[in-house]
Amino acid sequence: MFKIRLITSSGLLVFALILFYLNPFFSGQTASATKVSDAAANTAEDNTESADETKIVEEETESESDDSDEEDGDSSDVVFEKLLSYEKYAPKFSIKPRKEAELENFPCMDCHEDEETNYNIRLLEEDHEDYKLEHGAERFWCLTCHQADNRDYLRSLKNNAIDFDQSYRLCGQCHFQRQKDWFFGAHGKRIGNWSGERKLYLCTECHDPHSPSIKPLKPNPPPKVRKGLVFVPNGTHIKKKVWQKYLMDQTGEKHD
Amino acid sequence: MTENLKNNSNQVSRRSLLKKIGVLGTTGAAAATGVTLAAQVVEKSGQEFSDSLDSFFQKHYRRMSPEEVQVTIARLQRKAKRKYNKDISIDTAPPLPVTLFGYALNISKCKGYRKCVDACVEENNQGRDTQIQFIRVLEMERGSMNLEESNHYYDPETVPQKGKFYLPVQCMQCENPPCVRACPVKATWKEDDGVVVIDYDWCIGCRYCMTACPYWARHFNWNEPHVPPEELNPVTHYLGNRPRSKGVMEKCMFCVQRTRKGKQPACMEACPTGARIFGNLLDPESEIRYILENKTVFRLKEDLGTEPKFWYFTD
Repeated sequence: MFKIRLITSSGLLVFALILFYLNPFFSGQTASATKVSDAAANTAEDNTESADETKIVEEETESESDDSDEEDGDSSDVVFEKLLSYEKYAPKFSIKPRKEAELENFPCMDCHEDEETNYNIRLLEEDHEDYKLEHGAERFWCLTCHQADNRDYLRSLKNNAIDFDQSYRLCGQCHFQRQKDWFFGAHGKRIGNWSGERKLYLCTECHDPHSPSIKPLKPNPPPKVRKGLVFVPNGTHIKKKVWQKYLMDQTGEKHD
Repeated sequence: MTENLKNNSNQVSRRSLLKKIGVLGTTGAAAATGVTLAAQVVEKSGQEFSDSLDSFFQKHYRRMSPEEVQVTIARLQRKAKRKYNKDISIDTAPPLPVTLFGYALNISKCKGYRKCVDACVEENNQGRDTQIQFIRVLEMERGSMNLEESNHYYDPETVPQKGKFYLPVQCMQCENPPCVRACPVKATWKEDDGVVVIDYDWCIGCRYCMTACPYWARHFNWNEPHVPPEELNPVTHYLGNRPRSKGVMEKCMFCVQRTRKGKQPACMEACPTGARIFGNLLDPESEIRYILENKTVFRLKEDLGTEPKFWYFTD
C-alpha cells in the first residue's frame, strides 16, 4: 500500500513540475509573437517614409549604436544596424586607416564639387580611365558604391553614407559570410601582434575594390636539392606499369 | 724546382722575421710595446680557451641556476661576437602564463608564394648554405591528400597553378611529440606554452628525432651554418634563433623570441594572403578558437596520435 501511495504522489509531483516548466515557455512564445508584429510594422514604416533619405553615419561607438536601437527613432538606421550585428559581438578591433594616407585622389570633392553628376552608364575616358571595373560581372556602376551627392563617402544599398575607412560595411552587404570571418579573425590580416591591441587591414588593402580577385604572382625560388641527391620529378618512376617496363626493356630504353 | 722556390721563400720570411726581432731588441721602447702586444694576445687566447673549456662543461639549460644562465649567455654572446663581429642579445623569456600556442592555416587562401619560407630563414638565422628551411610548401593535386605525390620543388612562372593546391608543412608542435621521446639525452622538450624546443648545446646530433618525426620538421646542420654578418638577426632567444653550430638539430619553434613578447611569428607576418593565424588556444576570445569552433579543420596524420597543434582549414 505504502509503495502505491508513494508512486502516485511522485507521479503527481512530476506532473506539477512539468506544468511549472511549460508555463513560462508558453508565455515566452506569445511575447515573441508580439515582437514579430512590431518588427513588421517597423519595416512597413521604413518602406514608406525614408527610402530616399540619406544619412551620414560617422564613426560610431558601440554605446551610441545601442542608444539608437532603444530610441526607435529612424527606422532605416535600425535596418542598417542589423547589418552590423556581428560587429558588436566580435572582439574589439581598430583598422589601419587608408583614406588620407593611401587614396591618391582623396578628398574626391575637390574635383567633383564643380562637376555635374552624369548618371549615364558609360566608359570613362577623361578621368579614372585606368580603373578596370571587373567587380560584379558588369552589374555594377560607379554610383552603385559611391555617393552621387557627396563623393567623399561610399554608399550602402539603402543609400546610407559609409566612410571610406569603414568600407568593410559596404563589402559586407553582399560578402556577409566573409565579413563575419573578418570580424572574428578567420579572414583578413591582423597587423603585427597576436595578443593585445587588435589592428586589422581593411578589405581594400589586399583587394582592389574595382577588380577584387587576387592576381597570380611569381613564387619565391624553390629549395635546393640536398647535396649528393638528384631531383627526380614525381610520377617518373612510380607510375610506370610493369608491362611498360617490359616494353622499355624490349626497346633497350632505361628505366629505374 | 718548386721545392727550391719554397725553400727560398721560407728563408726570406725567416730572415725578415729575424731582422724584425733584431730591431725590436735594439730599441727599448719598441721592445716594451712588443711585450704588451704579446700580453694582449695571450689574454685574448686565454679567454677563448677558458670559454671553450666552459662550454665543454656547460649544463643542460633546464638544470642551470639563473646565475649560470647569465654566465652562459655572456659567453655565447662573446662567441657570436668572435664569429660574426656583431653584438647579439640572447633572451631567456619563460613561457607566458595561461598560454598554449596553436596555429591554423587556411589552405583555400594559401597560393604557394613561399614568402613565409624566406621570412623564416631570415628571422631564425638558418645557415644560408646548409639548405635548411623550416617550412616546406607542398604543391598537391586538387582533390588528393597523397603527400607522397606532392611536389615542393615547384617553380612555375606564376602561382597558383590550375588544378593544384598548396599545403605548407612545418613543425606541428605536437602535444604528444615523438621526437622528444626519441631523444636519448633529453636535449629537446615541450615547454609549458606547448612549443617543442631544443637546447642546441646539449644536442649530440644523433638524429634519432629526425627519424621519429612524421612531418619532416627536424633538420640537421650537416655543415657549419654560415650567415652573412649583415643578415644576422641580432634579436635572439636561447631556445630560439641564436646562432647554431655544425652537427646539431634545429626546428621551427614558433619564433619564441617574437611570440613570447606578443608579436606574430615571422611566417604569419610575411604571409601576403592572411592564410596563417596564430594564437592562444586557452583564450576563448582568440581568433584561433573561432576557427576551431566554426570552420572545417583537419590535422596532418591524425591517426598517429601525435596530437599536433597545427590545424588546416578551408573557407
